Amino acid sequence: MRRKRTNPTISAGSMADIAFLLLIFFLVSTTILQDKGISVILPPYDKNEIIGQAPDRNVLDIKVNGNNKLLVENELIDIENLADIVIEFISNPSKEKLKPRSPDKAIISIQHDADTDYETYIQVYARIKRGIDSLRDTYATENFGTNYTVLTRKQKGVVAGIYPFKVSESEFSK
Amino acid sequence: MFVKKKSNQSTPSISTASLPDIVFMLLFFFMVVTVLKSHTIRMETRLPETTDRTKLSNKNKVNYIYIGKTYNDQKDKLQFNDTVLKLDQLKHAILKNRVLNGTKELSTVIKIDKGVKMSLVNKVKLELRKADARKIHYITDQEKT
Repeated sequence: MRRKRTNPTISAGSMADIAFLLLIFFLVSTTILQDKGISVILPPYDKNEIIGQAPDRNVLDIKVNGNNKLLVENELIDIENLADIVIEFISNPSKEKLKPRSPDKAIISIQHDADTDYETYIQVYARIKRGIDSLRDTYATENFGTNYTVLTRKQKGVVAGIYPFKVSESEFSK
Repeated sequence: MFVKKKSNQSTPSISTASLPDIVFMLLFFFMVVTVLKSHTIRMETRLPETTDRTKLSNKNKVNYIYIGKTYNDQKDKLQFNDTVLKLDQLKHAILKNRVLNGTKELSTVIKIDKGVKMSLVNKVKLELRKADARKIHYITDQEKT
């Protein structure tokens, strides 16, 4: 007994519906990762930490206490002004005696208390970074005609040599 | 002047035959772009706000560290990738992970709660330096100005 068979075809009409369903699922479940932040390279570990001695005029001394108050060169300041202070200190436009002779010698020192909040610390750090970044940007526009971030690696090296990112961190010892 | 003769043609219908293809293309795009979160964060991490944030360049091979108050007992604790650790286990975990991944250049993405005290953050940083995992990336939120 033999039946005549016809090949059944799969209807493709619902394909779009299925694809839409999957699409909507992925649209809803996708969260675009917001991994933006501040990149830092920590100094290498050394058992006997070297306590560097730098001339006082080259060091901008920032202290943050346990109540998250800021003391810059022994003066109480508002955190909003920090970037400008950093810029002024490093570039030293009026050639003051208490500021570095050239920008590459400048060192920013952050000292914080054990009770300082991480929030304050990272904001201080971000503002120092902003200060140095804007100095680099100004230099890059004057000499290469573009912002620092779009320079070639070699050009970046030149600018970073003039405005290095020298930040020293330590915790108050009790 | 000519007056255009009104045609008696009905409007042609738009073919929907290529609709599945278009939708599939979108679907594949989203499937590729989607990054499924690999770990559940077991602590509260309210991020601090800063300006001047940069993107992490290589997202594939990174370790994650979270510091914050756990939901269970409200104490500041440390989570490395998917496990809650004690501070002295951190170095070992990093070294182990490095061997498993076979690469030295692993950067560490750090999410720390606003209110965590610096003494703990500093200890974590010291452990990272001991483990020679010195490339770190603090995640922050955009500051509203």
